[in-house]
Amino acid sequence: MGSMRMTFLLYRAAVRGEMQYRLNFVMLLALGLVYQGSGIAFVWTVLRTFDTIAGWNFGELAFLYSLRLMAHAVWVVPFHQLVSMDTTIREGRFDRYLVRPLNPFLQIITSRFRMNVIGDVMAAVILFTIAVNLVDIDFSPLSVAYLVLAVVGGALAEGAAAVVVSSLSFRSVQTWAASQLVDNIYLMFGSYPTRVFGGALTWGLTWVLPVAVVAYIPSSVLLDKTDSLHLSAPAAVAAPLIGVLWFGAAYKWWRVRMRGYQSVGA
Amino acid sequence: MPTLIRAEGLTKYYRRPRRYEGAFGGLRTLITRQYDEVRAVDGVDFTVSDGELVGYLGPNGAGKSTTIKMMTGVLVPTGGLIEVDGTAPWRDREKNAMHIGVVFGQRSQLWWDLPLVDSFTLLGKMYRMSEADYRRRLDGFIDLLDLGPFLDRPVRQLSLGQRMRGDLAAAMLHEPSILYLDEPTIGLDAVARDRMRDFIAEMNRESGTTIVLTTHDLVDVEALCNRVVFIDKGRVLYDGSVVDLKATYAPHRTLVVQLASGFTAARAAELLGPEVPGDVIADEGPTLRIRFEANRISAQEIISAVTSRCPVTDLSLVEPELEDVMRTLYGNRTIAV
Amino acid sequence: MNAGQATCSDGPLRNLPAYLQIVRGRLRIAMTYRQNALFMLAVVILQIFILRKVWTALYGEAGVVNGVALADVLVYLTIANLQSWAMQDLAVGSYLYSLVREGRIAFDILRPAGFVPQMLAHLVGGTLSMVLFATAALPLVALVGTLGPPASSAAFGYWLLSLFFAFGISMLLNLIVGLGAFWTTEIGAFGMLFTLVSQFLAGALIPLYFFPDWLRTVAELLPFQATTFTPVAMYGGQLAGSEAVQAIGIQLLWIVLLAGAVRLIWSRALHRIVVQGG
Repeated sequence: MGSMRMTFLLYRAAVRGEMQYRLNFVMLLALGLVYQGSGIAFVWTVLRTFDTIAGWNFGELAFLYSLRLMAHAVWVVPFHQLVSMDTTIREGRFDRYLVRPLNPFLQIITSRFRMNVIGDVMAAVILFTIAVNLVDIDFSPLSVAYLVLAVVGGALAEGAAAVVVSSLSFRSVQTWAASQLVDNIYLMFGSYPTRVFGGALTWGLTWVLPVAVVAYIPSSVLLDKTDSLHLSAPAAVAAPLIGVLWFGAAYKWWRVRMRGYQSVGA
Repeated sequence: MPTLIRAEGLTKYYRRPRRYEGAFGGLRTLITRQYDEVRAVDGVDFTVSDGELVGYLGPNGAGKSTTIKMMTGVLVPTGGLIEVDGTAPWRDREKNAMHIGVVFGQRSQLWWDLPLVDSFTLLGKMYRMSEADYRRRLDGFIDLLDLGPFLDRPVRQLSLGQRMRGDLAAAMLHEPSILYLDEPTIGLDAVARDRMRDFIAEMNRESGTTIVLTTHDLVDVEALCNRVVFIDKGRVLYDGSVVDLKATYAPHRTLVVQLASGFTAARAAELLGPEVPGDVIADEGPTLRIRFEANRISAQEIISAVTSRCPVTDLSLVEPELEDVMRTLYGNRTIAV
Repeated sequence: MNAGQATCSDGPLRNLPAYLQIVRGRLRIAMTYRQNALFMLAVVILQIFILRKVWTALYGEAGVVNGVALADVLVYLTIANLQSWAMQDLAVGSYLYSLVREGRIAFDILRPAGFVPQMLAHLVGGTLSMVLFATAALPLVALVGTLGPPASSAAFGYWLLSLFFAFGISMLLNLIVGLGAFWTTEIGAFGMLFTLVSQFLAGALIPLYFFPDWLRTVAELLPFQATTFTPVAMYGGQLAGSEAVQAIGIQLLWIVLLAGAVRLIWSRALHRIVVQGG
């Protein structure tokens, strides 16, 4: 429990440090909102002319989209600093984390707190509130529990990819562009019913790079649309576990790669 | 005194994935299985006893930082043994971290945007210090390093000297038994350097902290270390006291003689002739230099030889600088191993 | 636009070698960081692919919607996205920001070549390298998206001309965003925000004729559509004849207006430098 408390204290310090730059806060907030909301603006606009995308109406698509946003927010708020790990290593700050009595992973993610993630959270909350009013889901305790599981599983599914990309920087590789790409893959592929991309990709986006498990599969379950899924209904219900498994594996991999860390400036 | 740090045949080879040029070079670098090998530390043996203050010296790229990084647990050795207080630092990193302090002179560990005192608070918690211990240690450092005037200022607004003092206190806060200092005086002005040296000496003397110091500033070494380990190309060239180091590699001293007016140095050199075993260098005017080997003739003998033959107004004896030693060592390094 | 200069004794071309030097420098930088460009190119290629799939799903069984066939929409989207990607060189913003932060801005201002033209030279170099990357990616883009011939040879001519002006407009817009470096430290975030909004309003994701009326009015009152929708709609023949001529006139109008805006913003920025000392 000691490192949990320490992690919390480090987050608090990071937020306080960021508060020194209050002027940028509005800009970053707006960025988070617009960046995460841009996809749904597209969906809304095209559905002025068209009725559905692959049988999904606006309410259902908004629900799917908001589920992705929530999973993304749950991932990004605590872990977004992982994106900068290559800079941390290049500037030699990782050495310091290794001579302190706290897991380096926890020190990396608490090294800064970028305020745009607050915009990500706001986008998620706002859209979720709108979307649940557009679709009809009965919120039984069971479906709420499943919703929570789906959001956590989705967060870990996105996280798994981010962790693997960040581990490349132990090999002294710049990963900024690669993590942008992964981020965009989750953002772009994750915002639509995966089956519009065709069979092979749907399979790949489920099992190899778990994008479909973030929002498409769980929202199909919650909206009772599992009959058009590529999975059987029980498998779809269990899909969030893919995210959990992948994340566990990714973190293990990250720890192994850390052994090969070579520091900078021989 | 018991041995605290032990290195035996310690080796570190860096394996850098081979870099590729061309449009997809970066991607190939990413997936390649081919490596370029660099031998940074190549079989180093030494021990450090409890309470010692050791200078770890060598030219750029000699393997100093790599060795420090293995001692602190940052790097995993390729081969050989490294033990700090009985355990391998890289294997039990967090346990090792609890009783070491590290200062990387070029990189601050303080929280950049927060008041200095916040860094101490965070570190106190991280090292699981009790409130009483934390208070006692911090008050001690505020006194010793005069941190009071800028304790509440954000670190980014501190001068380099102030920040280094903050960094030293941060590294020592949890009462580590070993302190590693990697270039602690780099970039500091003369006053700040002196202050830093006093503090380091005091920590070693009063608290018995074992200190391993790397530096390019030889004044640091002369002022602080009784023992130095000299490393080059990943191997130990010399391990022993500073006095012995000088005696071995820079045995010469120089006597500088000021002659009375009207008496030229050239004339004096002539008079002394073969009486003095050493190089007699006559400058223009009244200054005479005599370079001699301290183990062949004593300063006393030379002085009496000079004063008995020439009218002298002033005498001074110049000790060899450690820098001369370094020059000799680096100059000979191809044969010295 | 030459706000920083008092006299021009040897004519406006006297500093041309200096500008060419900057352009060459930008091209070199782009080659050095081509890895990043490749990843960003991968993002736009994915986007083209996703848009193709989503629009195909939208059309479903319908062959023609609002008078436009699916195939035409797909060609439009492919060209529009590649083209607008090549126009988004925001490097000048981060360059300016580094100048401001490290206090080196004085050097660039004191050079005999005007500061704003220097920045435009940076933009020309950056855009040129983006165009090279985009051209190199064409075969892959053809595979992932949908490419097709222009509606007619006249359409092709209109497209080329209008594309040229479109690059002019987008460079001026990028410069305005870059000058934001004098006011915010989060120039990266500012640039990204700008990219997202401009991409949408330029019609890169949805052709303007699928916008609801009010949104289309908003888009037409802004300069973004002149960078993407105007040329690409000419290519597909949706914008032809007198309408096309009028659209090119609007593009020219935007160039004049934006150049004036740059001048105004730059004088404000200069004032800021003087007041704050860089």
